[in-house]
Amino acid sequence: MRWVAFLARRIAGAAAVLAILSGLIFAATEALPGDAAGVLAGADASAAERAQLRADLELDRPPLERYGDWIAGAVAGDLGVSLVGRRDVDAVLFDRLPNSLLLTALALGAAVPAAIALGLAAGLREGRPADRMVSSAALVLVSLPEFLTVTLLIAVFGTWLGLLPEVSLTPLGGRPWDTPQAMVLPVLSLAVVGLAVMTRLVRSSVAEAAASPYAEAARLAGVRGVRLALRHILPNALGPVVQVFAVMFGGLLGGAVVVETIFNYPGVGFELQQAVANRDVPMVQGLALALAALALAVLLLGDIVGTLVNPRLRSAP
Amino acid sequence: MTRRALFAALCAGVIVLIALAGPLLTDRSPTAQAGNALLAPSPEHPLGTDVVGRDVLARVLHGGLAVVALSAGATVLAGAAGLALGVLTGLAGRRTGELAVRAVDVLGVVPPLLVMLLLATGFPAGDLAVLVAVALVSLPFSVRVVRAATQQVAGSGFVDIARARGDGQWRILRHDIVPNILRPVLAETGLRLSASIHLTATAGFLGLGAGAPAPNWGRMVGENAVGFALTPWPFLAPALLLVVFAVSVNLLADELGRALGVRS
Amino acid sequence: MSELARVSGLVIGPASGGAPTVDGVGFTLDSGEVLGLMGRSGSGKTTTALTLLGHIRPGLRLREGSVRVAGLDPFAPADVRRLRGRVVSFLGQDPAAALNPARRIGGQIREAVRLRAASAGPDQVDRLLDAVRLPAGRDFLRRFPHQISGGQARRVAFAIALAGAPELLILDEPTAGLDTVLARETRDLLRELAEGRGVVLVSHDEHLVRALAADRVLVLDAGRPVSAPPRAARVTPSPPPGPPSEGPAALRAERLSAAHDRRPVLREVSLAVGRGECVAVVGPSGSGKTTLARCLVGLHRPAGGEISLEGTRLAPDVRRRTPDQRRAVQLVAQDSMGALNPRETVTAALTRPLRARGLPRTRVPGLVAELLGRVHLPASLADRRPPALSGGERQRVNLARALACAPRVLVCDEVTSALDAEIGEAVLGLLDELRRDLGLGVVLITHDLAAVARSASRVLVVHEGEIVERGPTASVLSGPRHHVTRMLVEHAADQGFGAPAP
Repeated sequence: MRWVAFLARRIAGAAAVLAILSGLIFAATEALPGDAAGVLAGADASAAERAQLRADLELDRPPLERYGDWIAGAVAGDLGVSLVGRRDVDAVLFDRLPNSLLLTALALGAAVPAAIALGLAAGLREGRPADRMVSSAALVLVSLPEFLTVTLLIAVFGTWLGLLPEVSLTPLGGRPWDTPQAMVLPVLSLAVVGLAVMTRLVRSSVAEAAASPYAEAARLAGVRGVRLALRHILPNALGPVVQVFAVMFGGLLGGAVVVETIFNYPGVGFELQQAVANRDVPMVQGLALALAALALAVLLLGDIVGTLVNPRLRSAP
Repeated sequence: MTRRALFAALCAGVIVLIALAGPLLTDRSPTAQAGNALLAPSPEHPLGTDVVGRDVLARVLHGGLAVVALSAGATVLAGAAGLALGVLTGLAGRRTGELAVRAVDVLGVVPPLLVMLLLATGFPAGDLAVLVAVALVSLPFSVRVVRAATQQVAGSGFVDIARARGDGQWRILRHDIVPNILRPVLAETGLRLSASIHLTATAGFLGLGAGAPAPNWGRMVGENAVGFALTPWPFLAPALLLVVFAVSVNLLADELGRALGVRS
Repeated sequence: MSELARVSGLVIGPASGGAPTVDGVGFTLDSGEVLGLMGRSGSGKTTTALTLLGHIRPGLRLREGSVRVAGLDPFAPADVRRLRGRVVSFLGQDPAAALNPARRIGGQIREAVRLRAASAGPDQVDRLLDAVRLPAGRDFLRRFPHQISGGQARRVAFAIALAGAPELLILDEPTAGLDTVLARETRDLLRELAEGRGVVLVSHDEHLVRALAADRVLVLDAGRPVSAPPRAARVTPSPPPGPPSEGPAALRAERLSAAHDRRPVLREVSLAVGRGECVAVVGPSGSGKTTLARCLVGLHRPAGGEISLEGTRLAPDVRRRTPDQRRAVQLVAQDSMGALNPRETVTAALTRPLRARGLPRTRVPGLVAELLGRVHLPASLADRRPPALSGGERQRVNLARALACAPRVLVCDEVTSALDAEIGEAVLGLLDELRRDLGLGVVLITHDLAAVARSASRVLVVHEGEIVERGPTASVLSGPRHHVTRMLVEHAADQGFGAPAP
């Protein structure tokens, strides 16, 4: 029963945050003085033409009314029609989302085990050369914006070594997994970006657990090596890490926008970036709402898993 | 100051100098066509020309201001707002404080780049969108750190004693709270600056902010990546400057945190 | 008896260089013998004891000396594996913190058994639990450390330390931070468990050293062995000062009740302290003493009852009291470090209340010097910040700061419990002096009945938020009625404070 109440509370909380976010998304894109219609009509459009366009786009109706319509549509699964190309926003979303999820999942799948291994190795040797090497490398990588890491990776692997395709040449209407070699660089890029952040987290969490009185007691009682690391230290280090991994996912979504843009990878991030460049307001709103919902869902999941792996919280959620 | 910190400070200082004084060091226009596209370095064009034939050196010297000024400005903005909000919510009653923090936390849920993209859609093209977005992304972190530090200090014995003695809120704030939260706040500001550089450069790369011909290190990396095989400098020069800037500032932030005894 | 351990010429210092923390310590220990390692905090006791396990805490380095346990060298990797847990077992300060919060109790005990005595049968766990008087049920073994009480966690840690029947037990301050009752229980249990083993006992608790019948005691001072035996007892108490003055009580609380998050912690507590009088409030930890102190100064809003100052009723919230009333009742807290702003110098800390009283800036330096003299601190400390002061000095600064408000009553909450015995004595002596010279009323809150014998004219014993016994100090000490009082009195007697002769 406690668990049901706990889950209900968390889900209700997430739903409330999503509702607030939808308002913020709408306000940011429509209420700010960006004047999408003006941009769309072009610089040399007459005042009459602009007014006509505003009327066509129904931008002259009160914002609250339009927000109500948008939300009602979103709940029913209809996110409107894009200004550029008149595409159904929900159709674009459902076509692109699996590609983005695949990219992110593969990158996470590569980065998480590596981050745990590296973080554990470094955290257990705090202050020693191995730790300093891992920590410094991670510090450098963390500070680099994704686009720099990725373009430098392309320069090395694609251009200099000629090993891998520099853009994902997914055929029109095809799926990225039809051409696996085109996915290697995007996945690798995204994984490297995530790896650095996660390694740092695991390392500091492990180092803290390793310096705790119970770890010292275990060591003095003769527990050593792998057993000390996996049975005594890791379980205590993992709790905070899981929750921060979930926060990381948001960062990874941002990274995905950059990576997809660079590789012309047919994902949500790529579409979003295009839509922003075109000031395609309905498309931006729809995709942003979906990404925000996704980020929230992952945070929620991280919260639940984090509670599960921490016995202190598990017994009294 | 450790040697590492000294080195990082030196690097960051040089980059800031290039960014601020760069426009004065060249009389070439960073936006005018100066020759054929993607020329190799020559005495005429020490770093060659870019994909549309503009002088790379002139663009590099003009293109740092946007990154340095915007990231620093946003950090200062968010830091000031965060300090005020954090102290207020830290001292407010439990309910009010938590409500305010929840409100700010909603912002923290959105991936930073998404905030940036949304504001770029809403604002007219220009640097204002970037400045506001970067500041907004920093704000929740800033508020959380300041609030946590404030709460910790507010719960300590010496604040209790000052209250019991009848010292006013303002006196306690000035003598007890602020001097004792400066360390974590300063350390956090270093980290925020590092993250702001990250986001500002990415905005430039994605073509957000000031219009297309304006020089910007981030945008130059994006524009010239395709020409990398022909001549690397139009891509490498801004990329290296950004790498050095981002890494040295992050190193400095790390060293600052360590020196202030705050674990990052 | 055969030799179990030998330590000779031990020198340990910071890895970065500098003065050694352990300097030339050596001793031998036969099997079954008990050695007490005593000394002040920071004297190198724990560092010395840990070398028997081949452990040097991070930041320190073994510079010289050799250690042998059962003929093995704990600093040789191959030997230490055979020593840890099997021959030598360690029980640290706050044993409960040694339990891994993410693992079940049963798993942790079983692991200890398996690691050290692979041949032991499954009943070994039950026998261990029995030895430390813990229930052996499956239900208990499936719990996590946070699901058992602090006392139980302590016993689990004992059981883990005893797994594999170690020949040498190293006990590091096992009673530190415990209140009188718990410390007594722990001592009794340890006496039983140590039976027949070699024990190195690190402690500054003289009772414990006595209880375990230490064969020999080694006293360390700043890392060096000192020949003098430990002082048997503290100084004898001075007789309590004369009767309280006449007139209305300086501070009076009537039927005071208070709660934390609706959980009641104080029930209808009444007390009164006159000018120049010292009234002690004594009770085990968790009895509500600190809440009482906070209520008196107006930092905790009582749920009922009232407080009056020289006959005038005081508002429950300090913000509602007049400036004069606020200054009249001052709090001095246990945590001398936490009570001082780490960014303020001593002068700044004393200047603030003086300026708040509206005294002209020109008079402040003279008054600061006067206050420092009052609490017997040299003027040379005036420019220091709290981290550069010793515990005793900090507590004197706290007192001086309270005096700067020109109070009529001081509420002292465990002001000596974080201090070494002699320094605590001196602080108490200072309080007596202030009472006599300035006519200050003192509410002395403590868990240590021995501390009050010298100063207080009357004692109130609190237990679970209620006053269970009250009366003149002498009669409470000589004829305690409530069982909690009896326990506190016995503890005080242990420390060399017999009941004062009537």
